[in-house]
Amino acid sequence: MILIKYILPSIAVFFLQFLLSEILSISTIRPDFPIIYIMYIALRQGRFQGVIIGFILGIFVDLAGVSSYFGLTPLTYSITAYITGILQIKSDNLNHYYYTASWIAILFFHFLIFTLVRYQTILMSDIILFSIKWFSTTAYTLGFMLILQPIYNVNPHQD
Amino acid sequence: MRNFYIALVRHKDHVAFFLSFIISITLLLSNNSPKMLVVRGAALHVFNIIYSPVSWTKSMFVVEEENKLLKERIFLLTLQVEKMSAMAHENSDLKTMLNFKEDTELNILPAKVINKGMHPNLLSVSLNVGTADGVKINQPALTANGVVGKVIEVGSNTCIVQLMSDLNYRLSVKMLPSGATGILQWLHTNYCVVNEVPKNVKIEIDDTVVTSGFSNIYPGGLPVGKVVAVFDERWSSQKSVHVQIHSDLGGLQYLFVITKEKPNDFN
Repeated sequence: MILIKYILPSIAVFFLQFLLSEILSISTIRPDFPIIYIMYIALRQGRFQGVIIGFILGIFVDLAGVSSYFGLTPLTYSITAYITGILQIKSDNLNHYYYTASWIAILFFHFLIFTLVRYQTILMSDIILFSIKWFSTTAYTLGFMLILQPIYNVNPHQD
Repeated sequence: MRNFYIALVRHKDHVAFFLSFIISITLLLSNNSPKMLVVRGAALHVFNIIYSPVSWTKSMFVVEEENKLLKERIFLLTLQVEKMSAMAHENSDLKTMLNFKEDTELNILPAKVINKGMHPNLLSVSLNVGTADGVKINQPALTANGVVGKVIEVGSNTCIVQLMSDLNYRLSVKMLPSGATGILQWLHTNYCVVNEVPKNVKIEIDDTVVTSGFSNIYPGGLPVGKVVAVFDERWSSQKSVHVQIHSDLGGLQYLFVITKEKPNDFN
């Protein structure tokens, strides 16, 4: 059960990112499929599953090739899964619009942490350029997540 | 003990998050430990084997166009080589007359980019050369257009190159013809900034930027880019220079690794 529910989809998402992210890159910006999957897991299955899968996927993403800050990806994925899990707990009390706005805000927050670390020099020199970097990196992944909504909604109450 | 176990199960999400947070921070703080480097080198080797069919397919798509361009380039270079061999001969004669010693002897190893990492932004690339080919940590990586990074991880048949776009990348450069030196760091896309340049030095737009040769990693005179803007820092004795690098970091297919400059130059 765990194999079908978590392990196989996680492997599939990892290879999707590993093999396709370069082909789908625009300039040097790429989609982040693992974070989409982690948010889905945290929102539909729960915080615990989200954190565990986020951490393990993050380790593998960093092992596949990172120059500096090895360990940053599992950290950001775990934090995002944990926060997303809070949204899952509160989902019964939120209407659809607040719910959607909340997970979009969490995605922006995830990429804010990532961009703050990776582009801290740009933040010091040019805050507009930093904001563009942050927005474009988030928007590209958000685009993929929005495309998925009609097929598989992130809100379990919309099924 | 039973109560502790029940509490652990009840708060398993908090416990899992706490543990993953602690492990991630530990990993971040032990980035340079030798054990970590060994693990990352082994993992890189495995991932590059998995990625090799994709890399091969991608290279097949561009091979025809690349072949055409290379043929044109070979023709132009052949003409240049003819001209330069005559000049080298003349130069050698003149050097002999002056009893002048050769400065550098670069040993360049061609390598193919097999993987560009998985992160939302391009920060590093993996190459199909490793310790078996004589590659070591801190060797410079460049394209035909100039410097793009340095080797930071080496496996037996693969290595990771830290690109200029990485936050922690710095390069000591020299601007020609003024000869002013500074520290280059990435800004955005193909633009970098050179800091710590003395204010009294005259630097013009389109001045050439090359490696200074002051570091143990990069030999002097390797092309880097050209000056596109110069800013005087108001309350400082320094100016910052914006540089456009020659190489396109997003479209890297092949790189060269300088495996040796002169004997004993690299650790």
